[in-house]
Amino acid sequence: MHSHEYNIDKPALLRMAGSVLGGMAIWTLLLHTLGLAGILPSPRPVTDVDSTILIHQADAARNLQGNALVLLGDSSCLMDVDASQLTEQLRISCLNLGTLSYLDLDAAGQLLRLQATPPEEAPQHVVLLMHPEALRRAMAEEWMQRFLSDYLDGRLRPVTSAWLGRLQSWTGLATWKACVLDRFVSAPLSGAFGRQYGFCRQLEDYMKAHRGSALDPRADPFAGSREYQLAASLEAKSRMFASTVPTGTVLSVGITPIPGGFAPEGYAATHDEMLQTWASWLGATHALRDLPESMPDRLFATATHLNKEGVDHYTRMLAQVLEGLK
Amino acid sequence: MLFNSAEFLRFFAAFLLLYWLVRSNLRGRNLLILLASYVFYGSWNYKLLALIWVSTLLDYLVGLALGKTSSRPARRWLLLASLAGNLSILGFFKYYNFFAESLQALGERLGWSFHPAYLDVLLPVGISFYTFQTLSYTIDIYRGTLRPTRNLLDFAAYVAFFPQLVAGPIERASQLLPQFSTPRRITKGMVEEGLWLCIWGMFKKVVIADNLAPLVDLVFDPSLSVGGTEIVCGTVAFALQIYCDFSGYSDLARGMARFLGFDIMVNFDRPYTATNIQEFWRRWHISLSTWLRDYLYISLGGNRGGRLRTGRNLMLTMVLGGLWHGAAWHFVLWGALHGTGLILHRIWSTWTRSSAPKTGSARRVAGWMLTMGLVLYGWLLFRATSLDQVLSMSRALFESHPQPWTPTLVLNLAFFALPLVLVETWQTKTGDRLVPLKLGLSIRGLLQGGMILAIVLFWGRVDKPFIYFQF
Repeated sequence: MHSHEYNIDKPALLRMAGSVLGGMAIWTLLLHTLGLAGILPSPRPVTDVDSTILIHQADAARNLQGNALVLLGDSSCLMDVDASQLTEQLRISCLNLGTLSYLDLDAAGQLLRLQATPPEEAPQHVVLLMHPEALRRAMAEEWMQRFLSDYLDGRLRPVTSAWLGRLQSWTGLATWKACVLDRFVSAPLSGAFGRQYGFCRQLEDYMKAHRGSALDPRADPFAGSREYQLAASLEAKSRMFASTVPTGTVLSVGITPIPGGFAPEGYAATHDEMLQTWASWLGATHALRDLPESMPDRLFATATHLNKEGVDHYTRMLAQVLEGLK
Repeated sequence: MLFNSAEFLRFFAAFLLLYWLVRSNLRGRNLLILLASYVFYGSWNYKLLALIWVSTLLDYLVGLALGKTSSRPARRWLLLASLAGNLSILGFFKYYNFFAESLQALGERLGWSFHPAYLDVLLPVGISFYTFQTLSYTIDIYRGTLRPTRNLLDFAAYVAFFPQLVAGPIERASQLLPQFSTPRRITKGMVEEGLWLCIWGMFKKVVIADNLAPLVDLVFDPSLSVGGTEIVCGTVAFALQIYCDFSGYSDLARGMARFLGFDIMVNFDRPYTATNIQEFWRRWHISLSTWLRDYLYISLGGNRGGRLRTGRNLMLTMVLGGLWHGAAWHFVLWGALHGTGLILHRIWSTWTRSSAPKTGSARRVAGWMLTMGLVLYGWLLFRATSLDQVLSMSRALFESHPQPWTPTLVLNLAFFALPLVLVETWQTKTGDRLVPLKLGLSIRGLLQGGMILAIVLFWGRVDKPFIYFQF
C-alpha cells in the first residue's frame, strides 16, 4: 500500500526553491554592493565586553590626543586605575589606554603611536602598568591582536574558520552587521558586566566618562597560578615597546597589586626584582617601586582586578607616587 | 537536538531523503517516523525513552481493553489505571520535589521538624506534552468518541511523532492518529505552506525570541533594583519572547509535518490581538486550552450547576493549567490570575447580557488594554523566579529607579518586536494567517530569502533552548 505520494511536479518544486535562493542572492548582491560602494560606515563590531574595550581604547588613542599622561598596559591597568580621578588629583589630563591581558606590549605600542601622532600631541608621561600574571605570559592571542589591527585599519576580515562565519561573510551579512547593526543595536552584556553596565553602549559610556578606565563588577574567588616570574619573551617585547616611546616622554613602569591573601611567601622581594629587571629592559625613567605589591583581599574583585573601593585607594596611591616624581 | 541547531537540520535532511525512499510502504513509513522520533528524543537522554515506552504501552493496552468491554465499572477501572499510571510518572518526575518542599516549608511555619527526601532527577523533556496526548486517547475511548487502534506501530508513532513530541501542539488522537493509517498526498500547496511555516517559525525563535531573552534576563535579574519603566519593558519583552519562542516551535512542528503530508493543529492565533481574556485563551496555546476545557473543565461539570460552580470549575482548571507549566507557586498564581480574569469576564458578559464581541472601537480598545494589562501582569508572575520576586517587582512597578540602559532596552525591544508587529498586522488586516503565500513567487522569494538571511545573521548569537522544553 502506498504510504504517501508527491503530487508536485519537478518544475514547480524548482521554481519554489529557485525563488527563495534567488531572493537570497538578490539580498546578498545588495549587501555586497552597499559594502563596495562605500555607502556603509566603517566596521565597528562591538558585541561583547572585550570588543567594547578594544574599540573604545582604539578610538580614544586615535581621537583624544594632547594628554599629559597616558596609562598603558593590560586589564589590570584598565580596571585598577580611574583616569578621571587621576586627572582631578594630578590636575593634568590623564587617559587610560589599558586593554586586556590577551594583548601584549605590541598593542600598547600601537596605541601609543596613535597618541603620539602628530608628535607635538605626544604625552609628556607614559605609565605602563601590568599584572604579574600578564608578565608571566607576555604573548598576545593572535586573533585579539588581529581584531585591534583590523579595526584600526577600518577592515573586516572574512571569517574562514566556522561554517556560519563563512556563510555570513559570503552573503555580506558580516559586513552589514559590523557596519550597521552593531553600531545602532547595542548588544546586551552577560553576567556581572550585564548587571553593572547593561549593554555595550553603557560600558562605552562609562569608559568615556572615566577617561578610558573601566570597573570590574565581579566578585570572584581568587584563582590562578601564584608562581610569578617574567616571561623570557618579555625582554624583546619590552625593548620593542621602548622604541615607540616618543623622545622627551617620561616612561614610568609599575606592577599592579595582587590580593595579600593570595600572595606567595616572599612575594615582596620577587615583585621588586621583577620590576627592576623589567624597568631595565624598557629603559624606563622610573620604576614605581612605591606602589604596593599587594593589597587587602577585600579590595579585589578578582585575583587580577581591584573593586571600586580598591580602585579609589590604588588611584590615590598612584597619584601620590607620580606627584613625588615631579 | 534542538530544532534551531545544525545537528537537527542534518537529521531532518537525512530523514526527508529516507522518507522519500519509503513512499511505497505504509508500515515502512510509520516505522521510519517512529525510529526517527526515538533517535530525536534519545539524543537528549536515551534512558528517558523508557518512560515514553511505558506510557505508550499502558495506553495502547488500556485502549484495547476499553474497546473490548462495555461494563461501566470495568471501564472506569481501566480509565483509572491509565490516569494513575500516566499521572504518577508525571507527578514523580515533575512535582515530587515541589510538594516535598512545600510540605517542609509548611511544617517549618507550624513548628514541625520535617525533612523529606529530595529527588535528584532531570525532568524528562516533553513529559507534560506526551502524557496529555496519550491521556486524551484513553479518555476519548472511555467516552466512546474514539475507537481504539489495534496497530501498536501507528499508536507509538502518534505518541512519539518527533515534530511535536517535546513541546506540542498536544494533538488529539482523533485528529492525528488516523493520519498514520492512511496514505498521505503531499501537494505543492502543502510544501509551500510547510516552507513558510518553517522559515517564519525559525525567524520568530532565532531572530526575535532569542534576542529578546537577554533583555528579559536583565530586567528580571533578582540582584538588580529596577523601576516601573524597566519592569513594563521587560515584561512586554517577555510576552513577545515566550510567544515567539513557543509559537515559533509550533510553526516549525506544523511546517515539518506539512512536508511529511501530515496536518497538525494551529496552536496560536495572534493572541495579543484579543480584546477579552476568554478570546485570549481561544488564541493562546490552543491545544492546551482546549485539552483543559474538554478533559478537565467539562469533567468538573463545566458551566452546568450555576454560577458558583462554574466559577469554581474555571478557577480549578486554570490553577491546574498553571501547575501544568511548572512545579512552583508563581505558576499557580499565574493560573489563579487568569482564572479570576475568566470569572470576571463571565460575570461581565452575563451582566451586559451578551458575550458576543462588541464592535464599538472605543470599547474594543478598552477591552484590549484591560486584557493586555492582565496578560502582562500574568507574564510577570510567570517569569519571576520566586514569590519574593513577584512581590518586590509588583511594588517596584509604581516606583522609579532609572537605569542608564533604559533607552537602549527600549530601542532593542522596538527593533526586535517590529517584524512580528508588521507580519501580524498584515495577517490581522487580511484575516489570513497564510497571507504571505498569496504574494507572487518572486516577491515571496525575496521575503523568504531575506528572512533566511536574517536567521543566518542571528544564528547562535544567543543560544537559548525553547522555553516550553522545561514544561
